[in-house]
Amino acid sequence: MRKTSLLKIGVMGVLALGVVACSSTKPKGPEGAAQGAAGAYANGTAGGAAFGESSSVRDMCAKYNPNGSAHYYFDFDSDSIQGGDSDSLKAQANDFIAKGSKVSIRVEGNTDERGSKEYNIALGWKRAKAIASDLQMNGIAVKQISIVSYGEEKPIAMGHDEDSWQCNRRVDIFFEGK
Amino acid sequence: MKKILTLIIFTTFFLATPSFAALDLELTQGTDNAIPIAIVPFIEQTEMPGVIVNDLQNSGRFRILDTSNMQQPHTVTDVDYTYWNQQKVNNLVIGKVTLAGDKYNVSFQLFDVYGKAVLLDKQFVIDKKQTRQLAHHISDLIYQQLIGERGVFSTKIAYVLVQRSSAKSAKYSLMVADADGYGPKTLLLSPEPIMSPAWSPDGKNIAYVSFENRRAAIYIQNVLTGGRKILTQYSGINGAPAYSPDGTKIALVLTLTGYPKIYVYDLPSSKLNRITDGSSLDTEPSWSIDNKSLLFTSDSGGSPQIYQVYLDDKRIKRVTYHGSYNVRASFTSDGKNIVMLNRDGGRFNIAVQDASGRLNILANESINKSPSIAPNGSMVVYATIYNGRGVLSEVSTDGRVKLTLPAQEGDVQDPAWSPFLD
Repeated sequence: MRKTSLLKIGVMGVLALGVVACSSTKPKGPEGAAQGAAGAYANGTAGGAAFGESSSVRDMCAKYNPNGSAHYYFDFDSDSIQGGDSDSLKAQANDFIAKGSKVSIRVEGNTDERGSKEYNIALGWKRAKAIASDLQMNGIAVKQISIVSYGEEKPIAMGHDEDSWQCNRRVDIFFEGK
Repeated sequence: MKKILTLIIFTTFFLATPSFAALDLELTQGTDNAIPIAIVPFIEQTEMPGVIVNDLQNSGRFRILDTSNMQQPHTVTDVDYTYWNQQKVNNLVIGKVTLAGDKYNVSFQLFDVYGKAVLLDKQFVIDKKQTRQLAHHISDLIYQQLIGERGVFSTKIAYVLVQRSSAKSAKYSLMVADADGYGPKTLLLSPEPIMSPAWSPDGKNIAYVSFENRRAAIYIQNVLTGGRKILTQYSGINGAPAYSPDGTKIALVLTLTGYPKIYVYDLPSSKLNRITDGSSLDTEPSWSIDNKSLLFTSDSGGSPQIYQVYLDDKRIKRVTYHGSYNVRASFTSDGKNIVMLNRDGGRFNIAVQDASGRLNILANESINKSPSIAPNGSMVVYATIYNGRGVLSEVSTDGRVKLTLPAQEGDVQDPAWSPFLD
């Protein structure tokens, strides 16, 4: 019944972790370049949409994303919208506006699994609010947007390492309505 | 993307009490000065002494002696002090169980051999299905007698079990099990997350956060009947419920101002009172033992730290200064120390801060969280990841005793230790 302590387990991902606790925005490359919208937004706008350069995080995490939703990724501990995402958000807002005022948008905030659960609910909330504010600045009415934070409770990537964590630090936007 | 709710609430759980363990308790480290104790099998009943042995052994405070080649007394007159003295056994437990109709008569005694004294001598009449419960009660009595503090063998632990069938689909269960992991009961089964179970101080209700309506709401559920009601379901965050020690209030988190703030909900009047303000993230309220203040987590200083707010005048003072991430604080039952989650480099530590502000690390795996203190203040249960799975671990508040409780299936998280249940 007594074994060597099971509690001294090193998680591989920690070794690879370079923890960045500051909240600076990191542009992911030259903006404005018209490349394919890899994984950014897949809701009927086939072809032609220029969202700026696809970030590497977006490419890496594209495999996890269900169709019909858009995804924005965040740095550890941060709620700052990535530089390259502003254009995507603007294009997305325009798309929603074109669908009319009956459209409702659900913005879900998420975090990776590190830290306390309820603080992660608050952090996920802050990320979702940042995205919602950006959509509002681009013309979406407040009452069209609902915000939910799931904190760390709904990971999309199941690993315990930075490759998974970066895909879980996300805000997902769902279009709900006729 | 609409999800079909397949929510099932189990209200008949109390009819079935399986005797398997949902969580396997395993001692990984005990104290050096464990008290040696011999527990002779009770005549006519094998299960009860087995439970007592496991309880005392898993507390880390006792070393169970092998009595298989020794005398097997069952009554006070059977006990030969000289013999047991020669076996170097000082603490001896014997017992007897007899059938009386559809009930059991149970008697047990605890002896101080060197002092030739009977320390405990008790008789009970119980229903047949109460044997585990009585065994835990006897463990409590022995523990109290020899250690000098109340045992927690008759308490329970609430937790959330997550079973993922695929990356996109999971079942969440709110569970309550005995403190040794036996007899798990499902309070709620949901396709959406469940979080932050919090016991009422009388042990009758659990408040928790459920996303079953695709948004957060705080529910209160009666542990015995399974009946429940919604406490708050405002838009935005409804989170981190915490009962006051006198049971009349629940502190919680709402985003009614646009930011997560601490509120106190007065149960008798149903009045909601906002306690903090500003644009910071405030969360994880936790009561002082005098009901007059709350510890809480806030990033108002730039990074998450612990603060204390006094409810009479809303004045706030900062509590933590070590490191850049201190969250999820709670007072120990004597009010003298604060258990919290502390981040240091890449590790998340379960830590205790004493009255002088000194921080002691109890457990430092890389992904720890959700510490919950036992009502006797001696043990902390917390969630961690082991071999890629969510498991619960326990550590004593002096850091010397460690246990793991891996679930037999799924990931276990968000533990909440019950109060004493009398």
